Amino acid sequence: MPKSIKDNLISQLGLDDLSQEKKIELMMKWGDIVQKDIIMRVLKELPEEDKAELDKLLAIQGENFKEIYKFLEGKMPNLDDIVKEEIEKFREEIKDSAKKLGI
Amino acid sequence: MSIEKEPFKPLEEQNEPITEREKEIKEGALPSVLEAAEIRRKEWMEKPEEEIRTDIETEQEINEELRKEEIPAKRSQIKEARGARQEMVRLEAEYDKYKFWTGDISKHFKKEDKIKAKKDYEQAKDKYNEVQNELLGFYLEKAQDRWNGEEGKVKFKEFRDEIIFRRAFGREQERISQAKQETLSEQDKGRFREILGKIGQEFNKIPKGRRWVYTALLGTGAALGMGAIAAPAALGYAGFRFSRAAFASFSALGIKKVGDNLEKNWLKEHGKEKREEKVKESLVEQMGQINDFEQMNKLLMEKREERDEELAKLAKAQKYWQVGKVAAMIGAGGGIAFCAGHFDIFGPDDASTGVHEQLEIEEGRGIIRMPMPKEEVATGPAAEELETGIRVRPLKETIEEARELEPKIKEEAGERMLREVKTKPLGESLEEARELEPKVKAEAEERILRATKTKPLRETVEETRELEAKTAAIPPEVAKVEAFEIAEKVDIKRGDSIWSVAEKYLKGNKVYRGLIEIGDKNTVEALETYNIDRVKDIIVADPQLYGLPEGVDLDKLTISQLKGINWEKAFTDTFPEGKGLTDGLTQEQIDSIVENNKTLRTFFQEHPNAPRASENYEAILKGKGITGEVAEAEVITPEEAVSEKELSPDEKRDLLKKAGVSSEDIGKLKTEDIKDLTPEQIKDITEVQEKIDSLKKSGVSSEDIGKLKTEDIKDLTPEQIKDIAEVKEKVDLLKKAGVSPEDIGKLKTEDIKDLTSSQIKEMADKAKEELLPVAEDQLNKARINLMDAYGMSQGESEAILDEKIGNLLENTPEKLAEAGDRFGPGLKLKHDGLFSFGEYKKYCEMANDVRAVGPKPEEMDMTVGEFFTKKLSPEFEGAKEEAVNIELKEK
Repeated sequence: MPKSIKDNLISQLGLDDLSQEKKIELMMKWGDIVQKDIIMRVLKELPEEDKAELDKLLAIQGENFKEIYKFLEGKMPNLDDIVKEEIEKFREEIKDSAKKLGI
Repeated sequence: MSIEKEPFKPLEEQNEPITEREKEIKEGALPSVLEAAEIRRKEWMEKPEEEIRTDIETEQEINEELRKEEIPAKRSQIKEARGARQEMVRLEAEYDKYKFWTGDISKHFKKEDKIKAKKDYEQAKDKYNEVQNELLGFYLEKAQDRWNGEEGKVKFKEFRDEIIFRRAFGREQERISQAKQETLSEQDKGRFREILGKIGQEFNKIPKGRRWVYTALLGTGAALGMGAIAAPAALGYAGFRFSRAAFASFSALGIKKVGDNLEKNWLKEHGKEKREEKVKESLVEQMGQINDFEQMNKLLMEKREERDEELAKLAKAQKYWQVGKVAAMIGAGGGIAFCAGHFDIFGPDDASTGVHEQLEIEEGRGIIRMPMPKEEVATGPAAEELETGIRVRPLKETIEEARELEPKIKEEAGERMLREVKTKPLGESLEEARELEPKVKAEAEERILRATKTKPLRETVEETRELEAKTAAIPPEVAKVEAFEIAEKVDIKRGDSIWSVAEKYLKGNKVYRGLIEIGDKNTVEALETYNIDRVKDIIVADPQLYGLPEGVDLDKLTISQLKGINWEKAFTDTFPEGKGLTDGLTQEQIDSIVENNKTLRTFFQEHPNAPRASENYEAILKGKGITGEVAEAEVITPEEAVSEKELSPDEKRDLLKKAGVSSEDIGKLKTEDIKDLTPEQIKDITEVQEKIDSLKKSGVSSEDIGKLKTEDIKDLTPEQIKDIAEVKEKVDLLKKAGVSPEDIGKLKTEDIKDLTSSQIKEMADKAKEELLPVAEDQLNKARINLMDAYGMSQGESEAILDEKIGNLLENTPEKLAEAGDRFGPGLKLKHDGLFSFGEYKKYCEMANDVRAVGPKPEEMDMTVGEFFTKKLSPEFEGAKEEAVNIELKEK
């Protein structure tokens, strides 16, 4: 799934002239949004009976995200695809939106 | 759960209050923070329409300049935009049910319902875009009316970019995300927050280096298991340096500038320029292959110094030199911008962009692909720019260039130093002190002084290819060696040495045996000697690492000591995966090894009692071997050596070594260069090197020494070196005391030399007075840095600035999971304590950093702004401390 420098979204949206700080701010926001999209998608796809099990893991005090991840991975064989799809979806949506806004 | 027992509920029903708290909220028993929010919302709604500023402005999202240029939107427009957004998101969630839910539940969905859901969503999306378009058009139209003419065009463009940036791609995307979260059921909302919190915990404990790696790898768009899901969180948590680097790599924004800043920060942080240079040299020079990115990753988590060394070793063993370079940059810190564009998180699939190389590594179930566009390798002017300071060229080329540049360098070298310290430079003081201006040959000295100069990436590529061409003489099967499998056990007997045991292990290796079968006699002999030497060298370099006791005589190891050596590690380290037995072995080296072996064999035949120790092997090859029949070996001194007419290249290398030239630098010299060195040049090098060492011992930095002319160094007397050290010390003292370089520049060298402590104190006091007003500016910088370092918005940053450090630490746990009741109310924020979990996490991250630097008790009463100001203005603090020190000294 190669990516190219030619296709960075900042340039595609015509925002090359933005200051570096603003570009960074934008990237941070996007990263945060994509992460949330991924989590929401996981929650939408995860069957209810599995969510009960997930709740138990979430209720455990302390750091156990690795365990949670393993659990999700076990329940959702397409987890990697979800990540890719959500990144791609966000990218396409924002480009589409820009296009419709005439940017 | 089964469908029959619990049929699917519409989202509205799912959102019905379930818990007591939810019911209370619904019934009006709002918590104070929500009440406050509600009051503010009502106040806002009750204002006359004309007075309502744009939601952008009310949220302080526009910069100061544009804030002055308000363009108010009508309340009805904003309301319409909000409504369209919410409707689009709601219908998207409805449509998602048909897309994502499978199994039994999907049987309850009709195809026509799905088509309708999609159609509704698409219509809502169009409506949303239409409203957004109108709103954007409204802003732009107003802006165009306001700013016209040539000057206005620039202003309009600024506004346009700003509003697009803020509204369309920044805040608006966040709003959509927020609206999506609202469509989750209450239970899922809780899970969502919990997962985010867990990710936060996970990444809080991961060193920033690794967070960066995750982030960068996510940029490939490839699956990376847990890292991929959690990586964006790293953006929020990563510190300034790595996050900046990651962003640069993602979006190719201002890459050179970012790279330069990183370089500068790195050097400033570690103050080991020379070491950095060496690490980079080693990495870049040796970079042939990378096949173990996970190992790179692991190393990033380890202590920095060890990491750099290990990275250097590892980079030598990697398969794809470009990737090796990337990893090296991560290790060396400065050239991260080289990655720019390779990890483009938001770039589309594009097979036509010309991927030159690609690395695939299994991690979990995912594949990490690290593409290298052809243009980077083939031309890449930008890459060349970025490579400045990274690549080492052969000394021969350096010398040639030095010859061309010599007149200019001689004129400018002293001047550069003068400009740097803004005072009369050491070079100039030497000029004054020196009456004679003898002309010396500069070529040899330049080899040393300019050995760390660099060359562009393209030349690196060409050299790599040249090297590949040279090694092509080796049978191809040789180069395919992927890993070294050590024999399980070899027989170790009395009389064995590291060398002989390594030989046994080598001969037990099936790959090696295969090589023997296909290689000619000389190649086999060279391979054996060369590789046994490599294993021996790695053990000798760090005996304890391989299980030998400290201080052991490596030439007289006992059988148990030999057995105790971790041979597997020694061989694995010498021949990591991807690094063949013939790595770096050229035909020239093969010939040299065979010749040396012949010399050694002959010597030991003629002198059977000669000691078989490593030092003697070297001495034998130099023609000075100890025979065992003579009491002592002759030790050749540089003076004696230069009086001899003909010296072998090895003897000259030895002399250079004795003169203090590093093995690394010597290793870069080609044999013909060595041969060309005259005894006079060697003598000159020795002399210059000695004086350089004296200067270094006197505290003069390598950087400053590098600015001196070679002949200046050569002619220095011990007294002058002492004077230089004294002046340098006082200049440093003045700098630390906060005296500006401009003011120091006004002083003459002799004036600086004669400065007394009280005079320095006086200057420090004056400088301090001048610096105090700067503190205000630093406060502002601290705010900006909080935003950069912790991903805070301007509002979040401003809200925390006045909080006391003590209160911050008291009300933010080290681990988010322990937040409990402390979440929120404990912090006295400007916005009435109403803040999100995300914001709280940022404060926790910041608090952990404050804990890490260990605030003193008296600093607990400082505000966050003051604390960061202090930490961010070392010069200011340095000035104060220095003044106090001087005062104490005087007393």
